[in-house]
Amino acid sequence: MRGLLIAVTIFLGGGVFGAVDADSVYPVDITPLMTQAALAQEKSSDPEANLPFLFAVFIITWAGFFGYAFVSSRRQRQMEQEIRAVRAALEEKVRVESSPSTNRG
Amino acid sequence: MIASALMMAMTLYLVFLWVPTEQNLGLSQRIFYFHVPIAWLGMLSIVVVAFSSAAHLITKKEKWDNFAYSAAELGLVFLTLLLISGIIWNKPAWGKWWTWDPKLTTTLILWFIYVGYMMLRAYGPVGSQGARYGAILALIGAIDSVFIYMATSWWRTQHPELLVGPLADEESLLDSRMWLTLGCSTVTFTVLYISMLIERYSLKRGEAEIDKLYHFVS
Repeated sequence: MRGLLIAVTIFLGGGVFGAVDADSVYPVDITPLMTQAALAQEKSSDPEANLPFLFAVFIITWAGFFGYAFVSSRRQRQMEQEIRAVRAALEEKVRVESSPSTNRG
Repeated sequence: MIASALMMAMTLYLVFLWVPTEQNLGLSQRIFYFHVPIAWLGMLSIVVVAFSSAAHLITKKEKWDNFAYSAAELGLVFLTLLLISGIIWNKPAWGKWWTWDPKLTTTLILWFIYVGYMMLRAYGPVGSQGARYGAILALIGAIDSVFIYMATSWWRTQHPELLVGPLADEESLLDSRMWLTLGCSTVTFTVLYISMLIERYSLKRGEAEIDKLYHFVS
């Protein structure tokens, strides 16, 4: 869990930094990823125009992983509490079963 | 976990600072480096569930059932993130949030199969009967994974055709730097998936042990 939280922190911090650095733009064509209609539209638009979508995916992906890690660690704490309760119940049961009977005729 | 965190840092650098920007989709194309690895793991997970469930039915060992449950839970997480990232990427690429494209539809079906599996395990019959029903559902999901993977080859779809992976049917137009970044991202997410699966499995095993102890105490 700790490693995942470290990864989330690094990714969130680096992602914010990286997303705003739009200086490294080298034209590379991936035509199959575009329909013809969207191609015509996108050619005339700013490369930074779709930054909010990238940011949204980034945030949601890492919020999802972080949320899952949080739920898992809470489940783990609950499990540890249950282990303590079961251990106490077992010790009590052993104590009761091993104590000598007090009702003697 | 620490290894996956370090690999994530490297992947972060490659995705946001090193790989070139695609000239048509612009910055939104970088969603590709999250979307594809998450897709691969979402589909792999249901196959893991199917094999683990089958192993449980054959060997009757509880560890395989625990493993199947853990993989199903993780698969649901990954597939949910896949659908969300795909929906968000749809808007700048295709102009709308959702279409009933074969690839998207079969992925949504797989998501429902995951949800059905989790509900079955939570509210359905316990013991071997529940595991048997879960195995059937997982097998259907594994078959659906094949449909998802081959959707762009078998049907006319808006989704891009297979550019990477087995049975990719055209020479890839990806830049070499994009190939490297995608490979790194895929390995990183796979390592993350494995470490999360191990954690979830040990948690599930602990829960199963506690249930047994409760029966012993009461």
